[in-house]
Amino acid sequence: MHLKHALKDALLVGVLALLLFLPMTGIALAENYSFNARFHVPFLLAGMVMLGRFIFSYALHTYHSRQWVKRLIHREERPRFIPWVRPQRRWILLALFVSGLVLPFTLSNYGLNTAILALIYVLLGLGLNIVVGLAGLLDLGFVAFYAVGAYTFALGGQYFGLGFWGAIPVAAAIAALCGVLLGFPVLRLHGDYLAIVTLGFGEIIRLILTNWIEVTGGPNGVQVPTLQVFGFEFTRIAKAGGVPIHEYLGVAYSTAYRYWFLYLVLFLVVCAMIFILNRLRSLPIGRAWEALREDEIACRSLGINPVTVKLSAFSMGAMVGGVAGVFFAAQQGFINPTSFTFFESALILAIVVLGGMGSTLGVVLAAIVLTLLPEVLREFSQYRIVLFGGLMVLMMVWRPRGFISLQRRQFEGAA
Amino acid sequence: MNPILRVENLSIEFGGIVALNQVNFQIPRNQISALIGPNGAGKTTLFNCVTGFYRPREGKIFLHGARQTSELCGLLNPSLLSRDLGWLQSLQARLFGGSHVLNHLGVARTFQNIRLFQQMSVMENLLVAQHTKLKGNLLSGLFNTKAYVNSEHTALEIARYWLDFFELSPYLNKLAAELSYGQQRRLEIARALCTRPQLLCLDEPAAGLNPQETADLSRLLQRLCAQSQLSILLIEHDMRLVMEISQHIIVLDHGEVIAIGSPAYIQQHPQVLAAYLGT
Repeated sequence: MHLKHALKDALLVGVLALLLFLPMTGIALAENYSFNARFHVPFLLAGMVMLGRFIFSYALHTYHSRQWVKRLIHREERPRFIPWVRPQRRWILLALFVSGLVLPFTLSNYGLNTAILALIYVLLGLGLNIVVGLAGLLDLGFVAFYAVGAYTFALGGQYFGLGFWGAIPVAAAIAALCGVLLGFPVLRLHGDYLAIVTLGFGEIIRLILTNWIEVTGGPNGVQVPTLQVFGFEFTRIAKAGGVPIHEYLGVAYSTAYRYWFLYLVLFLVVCAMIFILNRLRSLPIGRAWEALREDEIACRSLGINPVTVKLSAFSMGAMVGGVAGVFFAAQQGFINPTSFTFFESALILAIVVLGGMGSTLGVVLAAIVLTLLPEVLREFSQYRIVLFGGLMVLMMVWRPRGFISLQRRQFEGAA
Repeated sequence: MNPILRVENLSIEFGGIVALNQVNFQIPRNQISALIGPNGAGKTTLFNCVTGFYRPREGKIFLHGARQTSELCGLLNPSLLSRDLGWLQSLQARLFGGSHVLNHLGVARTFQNIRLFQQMSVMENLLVAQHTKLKGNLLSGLFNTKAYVNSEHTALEIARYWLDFFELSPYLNKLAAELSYGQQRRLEIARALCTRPQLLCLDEPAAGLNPQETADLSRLLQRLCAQSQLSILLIEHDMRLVMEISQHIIVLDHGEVIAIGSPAYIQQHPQVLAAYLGT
């Protein structure tokens, strides 16, 4: 039955194909404007079409193939998941990523240094954005976690031989722990009171670093271990023994190598953070953070435990801050407590507020603008802070919600 | 009577002012009960005790859930906590309060002054409500594991159901703050229902609604009670609404229960009339 049907079908299609192919391929133009008939070609083609059609229409009658076709037509509604990257933005993001990778090779050492600093502030802004922008916990002492990260690398290197790669996870863990330590006593505080306690926490960390001279070196600071990649150093002459990287690779020595390396690693870390944080926002934990910012009592009435939600926000934010600290230490090569004053906290907070509370893109832009602005305005250095303050006032008047307001996840309508 | 909630000798005071004094009553299962009384009678205080926001000085509250009976006040009492919860939860409840635990036992509530997550979308409000029911942690969410995707999918389905029920489907991507007052009231009820409660406590659900919206709400609440295994306790000042939808009424005045019974009985009760008319 199926066979007969398929044969008939194939024959019909074959005739149609022959009719089509005969004029198209059956006659070839020869010399002297005459024609050559070569009818084997259209017959061959039509035969192939017939065979194909026969296989196709016969196979379609089997149970499995019909199921397959049915699935093809009625695409089953799969559980939707949150995509990593929105497809319409894929190319823009890829272009930005590639240009970010290429950028260091076009910059001078000064430019590189500024770019690294900008990326460090992006990282800090992203970290504080979790605490302030998403969870709504006003933190004026964020610099403490930055300091913890930087000193973990420096002191860990000095006392325990901790290297750059090891320092990143260790600093993240210690900073997160500090975040929880800060989080516990302030769980019951809101708004202004919370801000004061966090401000105090930031100062405590700085004062400990200044005054615990036997361990931290106090105001004299600490030397940060030299950067190494696979055991090769970036210095002209290897300090820790072995050969420096330029000798190994057989290229001339340049101070830029170290910055290239730092920039590229930092850039990858920042990209990873941006993706993760962007995604966190549409995950349960990110939603809980925002809900906590909006109304804590309502959260409790819905069975959400505000303690874990707050602590997770504090520790996640602190973790990112700690990682930024490691990069800062690696870039500076030497750190002391003066780098971790309240002014830094205020600057990071300004990045988050200017960029738009909660908005990742806004924070990235604001961090870049606020680090580049002082460099661009170097000639007017006396008026820099005035300009900075003026910009803040204008922003608060015109765009109180920041450069870029938060984009919310869009849901499909009721089925 | 097969009660869902039983309140025994509940007393609480705030700095010498007795807000509730030896309150005893029961709430029937799968019905709408109303808690009425003049301003300052202690209705919201009682609500806060039942939903775990206040710790009463004396008395007990029992929730007779589908699976187990739990003592709600006992949960807030640190000495009893460690038995029902793990040590971490009980330590935390001792330090920071454990009112969120009551929701896990099946009590959900709305608030007199609407407490929505204003700067989040309507759908997100409903998803937050299902936070504790969602499977998976940070990592499984980051990497889209099957368990996480499925539970998120279920949460979306439940949210869509309640959106549909409360006629809010067209607004799912709007911010909660952008909704009209009546819609916000309905969204708050929908959000409470997303926690899959057994007892739903509504604190003045019709406050600020126009007559049309009140009529809609009354229809929705009746439908809700009829089609699900839900018991509703509501505080309300709109007597027409109360008499229309509730099968059981508790009247409070000056922190004491003065009458309990059916709407017809309450309407005739001399003490209730006196309390309301102020003689």
